[in-house]
Formats: sequence, structure tokens, C-alpha cells
Amino acid sequence: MLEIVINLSLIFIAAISIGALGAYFSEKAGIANIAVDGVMIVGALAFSIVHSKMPSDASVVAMVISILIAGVAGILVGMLFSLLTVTMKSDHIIAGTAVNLLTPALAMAVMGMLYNSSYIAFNYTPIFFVEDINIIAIGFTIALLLLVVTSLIKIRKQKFEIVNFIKDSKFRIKNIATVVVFVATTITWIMSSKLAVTLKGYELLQVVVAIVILLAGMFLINKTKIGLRIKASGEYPQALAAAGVSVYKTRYIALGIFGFLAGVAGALIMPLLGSFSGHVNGYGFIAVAVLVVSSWKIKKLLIAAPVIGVLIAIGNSGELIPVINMIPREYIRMIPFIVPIVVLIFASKNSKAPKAVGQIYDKSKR
Amino acid sequence: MKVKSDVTTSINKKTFKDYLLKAESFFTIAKAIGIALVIGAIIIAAIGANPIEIYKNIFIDPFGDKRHIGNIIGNMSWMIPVGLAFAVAFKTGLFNIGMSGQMLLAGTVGVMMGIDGKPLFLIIPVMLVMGALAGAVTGFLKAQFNVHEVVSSIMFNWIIFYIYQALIATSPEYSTSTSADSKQVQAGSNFISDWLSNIFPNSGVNTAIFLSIIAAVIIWALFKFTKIGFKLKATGFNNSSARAAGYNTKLNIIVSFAIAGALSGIAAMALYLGNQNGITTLSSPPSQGFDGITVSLIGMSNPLGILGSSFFVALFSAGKALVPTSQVSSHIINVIYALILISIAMSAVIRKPLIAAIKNKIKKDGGAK
Repeated sequence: MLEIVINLSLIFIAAISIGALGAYFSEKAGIANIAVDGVMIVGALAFSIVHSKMPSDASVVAMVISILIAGVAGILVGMLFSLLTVTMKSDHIIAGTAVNLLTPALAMAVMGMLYNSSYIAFNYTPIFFVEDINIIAIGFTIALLLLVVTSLIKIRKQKFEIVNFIKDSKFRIKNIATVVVFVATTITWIMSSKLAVTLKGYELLQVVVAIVILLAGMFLINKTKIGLRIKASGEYPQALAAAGVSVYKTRYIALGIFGFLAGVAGALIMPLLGSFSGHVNGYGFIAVAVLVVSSWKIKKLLIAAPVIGVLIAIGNSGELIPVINMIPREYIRMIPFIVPIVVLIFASKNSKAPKAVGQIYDKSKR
Repeated sequence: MKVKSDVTTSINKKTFKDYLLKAESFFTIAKAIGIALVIGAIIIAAIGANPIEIYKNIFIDPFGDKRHIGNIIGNMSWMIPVGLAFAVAFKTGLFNIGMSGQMLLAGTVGVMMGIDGKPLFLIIPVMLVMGALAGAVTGFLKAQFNVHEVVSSIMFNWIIFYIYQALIATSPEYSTSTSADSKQVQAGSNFISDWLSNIFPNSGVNTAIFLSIIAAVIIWALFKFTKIGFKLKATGFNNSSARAAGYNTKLNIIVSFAIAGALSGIAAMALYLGNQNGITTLSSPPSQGFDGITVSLIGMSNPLGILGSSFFVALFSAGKALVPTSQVSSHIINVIYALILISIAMSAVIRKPLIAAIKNKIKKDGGAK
């Protein structure tokens, strides 16, 4: 029973953090994005179709391939969204709503034509069970090491002082993240060994990969040329244009990254849905919520995604836990949507949202 | 005094250019819908059906039967107010995509009261207040804490969706024993009346259509003649200068959202106490709220335009049921419906050449004038 909650949390954390990262790239480039849900639906559709064609004893490689195909399908929708918002200069919110309206209908139509039914069954056969809990500890340790290494890379640039490391607010959040991951590892490890819980290796792999992708995203946006251009196009696109860089092209690239990540997120959520019937239960909106809670910072995303992931897992299987099953599950499911509003109330005075987000950029206007 | 009268006349005086621009934006919308329908026709033809036949099913066949005409009116009864709810906020420079939640909160309370058999004169004000409350919270967060209204609207849609699930869908008192559908609203507490149902038998027609039309006229008059409407418009046009002119823009934002919420409440009356007579099972916030965006955009955010556009959208959704599913599935029709919204969203580009042409013509004709 605890096993189910932990496994669900792991699935959620992986899918939602990647979906939120997708939205992050889009918003950093200045495109207000509520189309995450729509793109996730297409990702889930592509994943389900490819996965249903595969033999049931498909290997990890086959699984990864179908996830990547979901990402490619997501890119296609991302390109449609960028055609609307960048080239056609339509309002971002209306375009997002239109995409959210289009994709479920499209998914249902495609399923009707291919399978003549309104859902695709998803036979989720876990690829390998991890009886030995040590592998989990190893996985988390890798994540932990990655966090520490990235902190050190940053510190290397200034004089290394341990006081700096603790005091500097920039590093504090990462330290908190590190501690949270460490504590979570320990708790999981102790609990699992006490209760003899069997964890599925696949979910764990997902979370580790998700953390790696988040860190890669952090590197991409802060250290590479294209990342800095994406940031500039979200803060002050005119300056980017003045530097001789095409804002349109930058935004297309950012929305391509968004489409890929959101498509992958749609594929990753599938084990939880069980079967695909034209929607992803609105988890795309939770991804937006997570992004808002993390106030457009990947570091905070590393904390927000696990917290909200666990909350949703409890909302989905809360009746299994002794004390929490006293509260109706609907009220628990509400919490992930209440948290962002509370966070925004306290944080909006010094909002960290990109300055030009939601504004339509027109090259011919100044 | 003289200056003031000059200003007012120049505001009220419509030039030829204004009329041209208005006609032009109407043709832009028509063009956008036309493009979407042409793409839809290509999709239908690709599947192997006859697009002309299918469009005849959607746009002409509903007029052949009283039941379908009744369904059109029944759909219009909730589409008008939900379109207005988007338009009122839009005119104040705000995006209201929280109609789903506002409708559902009003609908949940209203349906619960309706199942208990409370009288209609009690239900109507309560639903109006619940809708207005749901809207005003979004407006308050925007005005007081600068929380973006789109984000908070999305969150409130889902929060209210779970409130509905807790209060109705999972409640043994209010849901039917076989499904999560709510029980039927009792006869005295809904908007279904015999004389209308006798004219259009077996349809979703309900008397809330009159409420909706009155609401449209009131909103039109509000923006056309009253001070409040002018203040709301000024806030939407340029928030800073409205504040500089001494208007309480924060209050205006809250008022605008409260009005929008109350209109969503009217939509909830028409939908849940008339058209559906109860709440059928929902797996996400009701999609009807998002139809308001389409209705409002086609109607150019003009209350009287919305009367016309809601007829078009209502016709579309009534005709959708008449397409033989053996030829084209209803999901394809939904795709075409989404294409219409996408096409209208793009109309900023579609209309550009036309505006430029008109401006050139005015320049040539009028010269320095």
C-alpha cells in the first residue's frame, strides 16, 4: 500500500517536472503557455499507439524509443502553437485554449480511425522489479552527486569559501534541494527496508532521468548561447533583435524544446492513467501550477515537483493511508491547485516571471 | 463647457472610417470561419465523405425539425451569457477563462437547491451571487496582489471542479445510484416550462433564454450609456491613464470580474437548471465554459454581436448531432470546431492587408483631413 503511493509519487514527479520544464522554456522565451495539457495529450496518444504495436515483452530500449516518438509528436504540436503565437501573432492565451480544444478532439478522431474505439488499453508491464533496495539508493546518490557537482561548478568561478557556500542565497536553495533529496532518500531507504516494500526500478529510473534532464535544462538556459537568447527573448525581445538575433527563430526553438518535453511528459504519465481515452486528467495544468509555484526557477522546481507529486499521489491513493483516508480525496486533490495561488499572493510583489511573457512581439513595431 | 461638448461629440460621432473598420472586422471573422470550414471540408473529403452533404447536415438540416430548433434555442440560452462573461472581462483588458469554474460553482449550489425543491426566486439570486463571488475572487487577487488572472482562473476551475465532485458526484444524496450524474432538478425549481416544451417537443429549450437575452441587452446598455461601463472600458484601454484620470482601477477590475461571474451564473441556470436539468458526469471542468471564448471572439466582444455568434455556434452544436456517425465521427466535427477558434485566433494576420488597404484609401480620399 505504501508501495503504491511511493510508486505513484515517482511517476508523478518525473512526468510533472518534465512537463513543467517544457512550460518553463516556453515562458522564458516570452510565450505564455497554457497549452501544456494539449501537448501532453498528443504525447500520450503517440506513446500509446507505438506502445500498443510493440510486443508485450518489449525491452527498455523499445520503451525509450516510444517515449522519444511521443516527444517528436509533441514537437509537431509545439510547432503548431508557435505558428499561431509567433508567426500569426495571435494572443497566447487564446492560442493555448485553441490547442487545448483541438488536441483531445484530434486524439479521439485518430483513435476512432485507427482502432474504431474510444480508448487505447495500456498494458503496463514493469520492465524490471528491484527487489534489492540498494539500487534505489544508488539512483538517488547519483542524483545527489549531480546536484553537488553543479553547485561546485558555480562556486569554482568565485573564491571558494565554505562560508560563501552556506550564506549566499543563490546557493542556499540548491543546498535545500540537496538536503531534501538526501532526507527523502534516507526515509525511503529506511521505510523500504522496514516494510519490505518492492519498488519498481522503472519508476525510479524515470525520476533519475527527470532530474538529469532538469539539470541539463538548467545548464542549457544559463550556460549556452541559445539558452541566453531564449532568456533575452522573454525579458526584452527588442534588445535581442537589436543584437541581430531573430526573435522569431529563438521562440520557435524554445517552443520546439517545449513540445518535446511536454510530449515526453505525456508519455511518462501513461502508466498512471492505465488506458488512454483522449485526456490526461488535466495533469498538464498541474505542470503549469508547479512552474508557477517554483516562480520560474529550475532550482525551486526541484523542490516543488516532488512536494506536489507526493500530494497528487496521496490524492489518488489516499484511502490506503490510515490517517489521511478520513479526509475525502477530492479535498486532497484540490491542494495542488490551491498552493500556486497562495504562493502567488505572497510572491507576486517581486514577481520573477519573465518580463515580456504574454506580449506579442512584432518585428515591425518598436 | 464648449470644449467638453466638443469632446463628447467627437467621441459619439461615427466617421465613415469607423464604419468601414467595423464592417471590415466582421468580414475578417467571416473569412476566418470560412477558412476553417474549407480546411474542415478537406479533412472530411480525405476521410471519404462528401463535405457538402456533411455541412448540409450541420447548417441546414436542424431547421427541418422543431426538436432541433428547440435544441438551438436551448444551446443559445447558455452560450449568450457565457460569451458575455468573457466579453465583459475582455473589454476591461482581462482574460476570463474561469467561466467553467464560475458556472460550476453556481451550478453546484443551484442544482443542490433545485434537487431539494427550493423555489426558483430563491435559487436565482443565490446562483448569481455564487457566480459573482467566484469571479470576484479572481478579480480581487488580480487587483490586490497582482496575481495573473489566467493562472488563478485555471486553478479555480480545478478547485471548483473538485468541490463539485465532493458535493454532488460522490454524494449519495444528490447523485444517482448508477452513475455520477446528479439527480433531476425538481419541476418547480427549473427553467423548463410546458408552453415552450410543447412548441419544441423533446428538446433542451428552456425559459432561461429570455434571461440571457435580457442580460445581453443590459450589458450592451451598460457599456453604451452608463458611467460604470465607460470606466470599465477606460481601465481596459489603458490602465495607467484610467488611474491618472482618477478612476479606481482596482475596484473596476473586481467589478468587471464580478459581473462576468454573475453572467456565468446565468449560464449555469440555463445549462444546469434548463438544458441538462441536472449536472451530467464531468471528468474535467465543463467544456461549455471554453465555448464562451469562441462565442465572444466570433461576436467581436460586442453584446449584440454575441447574440448572433451564439446562434451560429448553437446551430453548429445542434447540427453536430445530425451528422451520420457512420460517415464522419463526431470527433472530426469537434476538430473542425477547434479549427474555427484557431482560425479566429490567427485573424490578427488575416485582417492586416485589409486594414492597410482601407487606410490607404482614406489617405488618398481625405488627404490631410
